[in-house]
Amino acid sequence: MCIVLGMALVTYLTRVSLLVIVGRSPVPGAVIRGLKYIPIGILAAVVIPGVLVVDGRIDISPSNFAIAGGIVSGLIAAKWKNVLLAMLGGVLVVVFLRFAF
Amino acid sequence: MTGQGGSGDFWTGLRQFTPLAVSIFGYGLAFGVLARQAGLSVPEIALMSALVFAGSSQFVAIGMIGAGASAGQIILATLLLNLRHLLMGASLAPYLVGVPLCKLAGLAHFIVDEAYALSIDRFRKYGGSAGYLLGAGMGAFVAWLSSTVVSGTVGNLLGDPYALGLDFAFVACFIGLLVPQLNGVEAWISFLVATVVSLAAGRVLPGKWYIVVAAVAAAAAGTVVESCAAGNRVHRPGHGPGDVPHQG
Repeated sequence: MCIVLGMALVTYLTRVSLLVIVGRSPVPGAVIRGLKYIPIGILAAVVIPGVLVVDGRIDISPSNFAIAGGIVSGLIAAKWKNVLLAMLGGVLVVVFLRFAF
Repeated sequence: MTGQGGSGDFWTGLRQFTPLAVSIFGYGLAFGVLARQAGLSVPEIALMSALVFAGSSQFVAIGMIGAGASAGQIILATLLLNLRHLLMGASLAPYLVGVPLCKLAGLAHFIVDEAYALSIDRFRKYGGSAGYLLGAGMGAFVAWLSSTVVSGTVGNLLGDPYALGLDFAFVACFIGLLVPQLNGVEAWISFLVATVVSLAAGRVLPGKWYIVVAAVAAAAAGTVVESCAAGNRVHRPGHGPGDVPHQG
């Protein structure tokens, strides 16, 4: 519950602050430019260890099915830019490999 | 005209948002299932979807909850991930100067990626309208809240999460969010920096702090590369007023 309320508070602050402030005070350009790359950093930090790290160690062997699933998800996302399709494609590959091997 | 907009604009925004609402609904179905797997109850899912109302940060949060991260780590990751709203607010603000402060404060909650994209496009063509943004945002809100609650309610009937690959669904979902953002050298470099930093920091830092560290490193790397690229470019007179002047 604390987590949800904390998340709600910080998220609302990101939404309301500049909507209300801009036009009344300037925002440094470097700050605005840096913000663009934060989602990439967070997503990469979830995706890369999520795919490559198994039981606390980096595993790039073929038995790590997440690598094949991740590549398929990435290709689908690059082609169609659709989150749901990318998710379904990768999950299907992983489920198939787990079932087959 | 700027900043005004009656109920007609509200319904236009809601109607034009419909195709996006369908895709949000599908995405929300995935969220509800995964949130149940992470141990959230249906009321908690509803509360999170209504109050936080930010898809990717909610996915990250339940991934972190499932992995045993602390509240502080989750809230900080949420803040960082949602800092992009600052950009949206800053770009919408000039179109909404005539809107009273209390209305703006309410409207702010409905700034989500899809509603923002639709609205800013409309504003550039026809001028600002609080009603239009509210209509689009309300479409997103209803689609998100209803889909996450529905799948949270029925999702636990699905069976063994491992056999269904739901443990991998998180990662696959993030790949779907990440890949379309990798357009350009700066984006790729910040991605590679985050990759190296997250793998290295994951070995030495406790919990999920490596996510926060990687996010800050990616922002720093992207900004530095962008500044270098801008510095190498030939300066032409009549550069946009938004550009930062170079000193030294």
